[in-house]
Amino acid sequence: MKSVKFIPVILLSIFILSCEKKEGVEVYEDALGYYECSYDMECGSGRYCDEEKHICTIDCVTSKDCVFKLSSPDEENTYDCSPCGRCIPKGTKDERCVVIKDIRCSADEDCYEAYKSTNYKCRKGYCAQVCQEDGDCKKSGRGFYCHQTEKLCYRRCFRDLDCYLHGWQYECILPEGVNKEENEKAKVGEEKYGECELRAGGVDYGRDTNPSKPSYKYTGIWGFMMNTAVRTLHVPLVNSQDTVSNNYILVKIVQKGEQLVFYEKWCSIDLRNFNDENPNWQDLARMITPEQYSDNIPINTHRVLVVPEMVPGAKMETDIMLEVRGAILENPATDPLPTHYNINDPRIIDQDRDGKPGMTTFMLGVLTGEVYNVQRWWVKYYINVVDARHWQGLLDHGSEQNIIDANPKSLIYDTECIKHPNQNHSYFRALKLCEPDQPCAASCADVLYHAKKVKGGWLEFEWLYDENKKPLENE
Amino acid sequence: MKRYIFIFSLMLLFSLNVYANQFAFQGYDTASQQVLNSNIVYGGSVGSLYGNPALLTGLKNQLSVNLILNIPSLKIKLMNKPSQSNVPISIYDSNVGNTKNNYKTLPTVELMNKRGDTTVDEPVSFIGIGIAYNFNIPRLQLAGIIQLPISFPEAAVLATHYNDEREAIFSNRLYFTRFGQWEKVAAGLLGVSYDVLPNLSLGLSAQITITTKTHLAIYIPDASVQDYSLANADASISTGIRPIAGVVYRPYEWLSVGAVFRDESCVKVDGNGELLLWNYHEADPYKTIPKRTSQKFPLAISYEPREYEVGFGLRFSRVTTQLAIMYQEWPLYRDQHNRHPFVLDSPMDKETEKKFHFNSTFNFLSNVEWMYGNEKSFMLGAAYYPTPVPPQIGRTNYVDNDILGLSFGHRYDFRVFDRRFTLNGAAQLFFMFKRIVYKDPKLILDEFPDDSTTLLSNSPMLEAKGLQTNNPGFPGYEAGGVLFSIGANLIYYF
Repeated sequence: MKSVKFIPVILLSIFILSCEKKEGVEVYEDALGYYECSYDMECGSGRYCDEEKHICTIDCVTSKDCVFKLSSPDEENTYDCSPCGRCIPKGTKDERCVVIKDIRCSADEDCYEAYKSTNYKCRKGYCAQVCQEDGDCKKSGRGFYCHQTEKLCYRRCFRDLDCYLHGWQYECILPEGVNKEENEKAKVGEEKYGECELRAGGVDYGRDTNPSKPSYKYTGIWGFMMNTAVRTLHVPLVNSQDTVSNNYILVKIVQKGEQLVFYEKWCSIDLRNFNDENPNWQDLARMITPEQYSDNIPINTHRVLVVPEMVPGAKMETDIMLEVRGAILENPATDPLPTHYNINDPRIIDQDRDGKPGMTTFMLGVLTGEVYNVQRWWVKYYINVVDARHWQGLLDHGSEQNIIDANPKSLIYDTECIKHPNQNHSYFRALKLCEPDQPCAASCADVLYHAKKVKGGWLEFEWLYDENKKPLENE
Repeated sequence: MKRYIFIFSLMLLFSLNVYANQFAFQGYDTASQQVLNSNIVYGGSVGSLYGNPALLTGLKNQLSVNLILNIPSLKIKLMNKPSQSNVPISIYDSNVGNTKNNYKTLPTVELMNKRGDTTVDEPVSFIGIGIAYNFNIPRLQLAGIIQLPISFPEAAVLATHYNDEREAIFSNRLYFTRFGQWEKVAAGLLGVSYDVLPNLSLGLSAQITITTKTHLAIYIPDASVQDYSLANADASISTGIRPIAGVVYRPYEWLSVGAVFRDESCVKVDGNGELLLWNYHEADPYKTIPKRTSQKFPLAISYEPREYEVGFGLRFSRVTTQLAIMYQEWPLYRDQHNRHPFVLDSPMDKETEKKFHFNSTFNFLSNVEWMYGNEKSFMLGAAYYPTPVPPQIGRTNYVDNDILGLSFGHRYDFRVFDRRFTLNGAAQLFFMFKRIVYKDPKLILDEFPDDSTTLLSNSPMLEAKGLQTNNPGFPGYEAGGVLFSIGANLIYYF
């Protein structure tokens, strides 16, 4: 009889449960399209392969991003960001992160052994990644593209400039019958592509090489860090913005008689805003200079007319190098630069070959968008020889820049650029990477490695010039 | 004296009149609570201002005090989110920032709040005052009622939220759409009824709605100093009404029929901000034009749909019973940001959009009342409210399901010092049935698109492959629960 009392309760429960609804289909992770991996190196630069999930991921770009690992944001940050994008305790090494480049091979098995992956095949003595499209090859590094027939990544080029990224020991071998000079000037889409191949005899130091002259000891392949600081006036919101352009350059120094000539291949440009006068200053918007920008800067040259003996403390200076970017001027030093008032100015060129006028930079922060510029600038080095492998010194420089267009248009504004009053923000440092009489494998990647990964290294960015800075041992 | 009481009471009602929609389910006074607001042809009380204002003429002049206590136990439980679906920090280095989409998500580790379940278990109580007075005009009755949250003098607690991936930026939670998470605000009604014929009554009442217009002009002299700005505000509040019209026709002593119309309504806030920054100009080659940035913040809070309700009642000796069918026009629904539920920042295609239109519903309400003795009555009520919310398998997270309501009530009339009083008691139980939702990954916005590339090198970003989203409802959730409510009132007849 007692149980009868529960019947309404049971009936009600059944009714309620029967009204439960299920909608959609349970989501399974393997249906979400994640890129599967086994090793960090499959994930490309700055990424790692999550051991549990087997997907490419990234925790950090800089150590600042590792704050999420701390129990409180106010704690001291005890983490570093590894080259593979893992947050690791400061002072430790990310053992799983191995960056391998140019693995030599004689058969595909060698590549499997090195990469533990069938995604690499032996091609022309080096392991090459299997690809279907150009995007697949970005993991192999900058300057790699997918070979249309072989479906393997290779160093593509249509001019020598493209190959110098991989080192001055490379040159662009074009298909038979293609004129090198004409191809270099070809419009976007009309160029013929070849392949960067190691130059017979290694780096071309010219015919004037003479070990008996003092200038010989300066020759070789160098990595340069060059910082030029400017103050830009009439910037929206902030009126005046101080910026240092932190540039990394792969430089070939050759003898020309008694003189030296610097051939400069630009590797990267990093624009860093600062404000010495206001400690509470906040960086509202910053410019990103894409690799495509620096990849399309032609080889700049400097000359040293008077070359002293190579001894610590020796001093020398270069001539002035003047360059115009994003436009071709009849008189580069004096003609006025194009402006946004006449976007159809025939002097404007698409120098970075991205289909947009001038040179493209990206603005990030409270103002976001693409900005198309033209620029005229010049620089002169005052070189102090620290030792046979290390130089540093202050710079003299100047810059003039016009925004000729932008997307959105609200980013178009007229600015004026002056050299930053604090001279110590504009300086350079140089590190010798290869001697002229030895085989050289140095590339832009090596310059950037010294810049970003060697703590306290000679090429590591510092805000101000320190004439007493000492090189690290063995660097 | 009676007139003064009435006029003073009306002034009080008008001065505080905003409204919330929980009483649409529960009833505005205890007598309505006893039968879940299903009195459409019999059993008038001041709560009939909402149920059917035509019933007001059956009321005697009265002043009543109501107490309501709601004890909810509702929960939205989120399913575990695959860690791969988190948005990595490298989104800042991607070209996502340069896309034309206005909305850009944050890296998951930088979200202000961690994704979490929603639990609604805070008891809420209201005190209500009702009054009815006919000014000695035959066949006429005027009435008003107001419900105030007992958190008074905290007169109102309003919080808005988004119902899609954008809420990740704020609370990172889901919210009940229609039931259970109401704004804690005062609610009130005012109305009049007239017996046109002995067997035909008409009634009209109004929920007073408000529209707030605010204009905030801000000048920021230094954009890098974000804790200093100058601001002036203009605000205006205008009132509107949600009309409720009702009719009761009594063709026979044992049969009555009635109909009610309630218009749609909501509390509107038209926010407008104008931002002026130092040295920020329009891109004009020939003139210096300071750039004034305008932003609009339209809000629509406590939306109630347009409703058409018909019903009939039967009276047999001491037993009456009523049945009403209410049609609710939910397709016009506006969420708290004054948008239709299918209007999103990155629009869906039209075919997909159709899946997420709210549906109109037919609700069923009924009650039975048994009088025993001369002063006592016993009531039972039941109501069923189907959900207007379609399966939320896409980007939106309107959490709702069918609701079953059951009620029980008792009424006792008595006299003290020759004054007439009535004491009412009510208990209600609402079940929101469990609803389990699994999201369709194809319908979720990939907030870090697969084709993202790095700004610096234009390289593909492998961490962007597959679905990355901060949508708190992904990959699914289950929701449901109960709400228990009790109420009591004392009516004094004068």
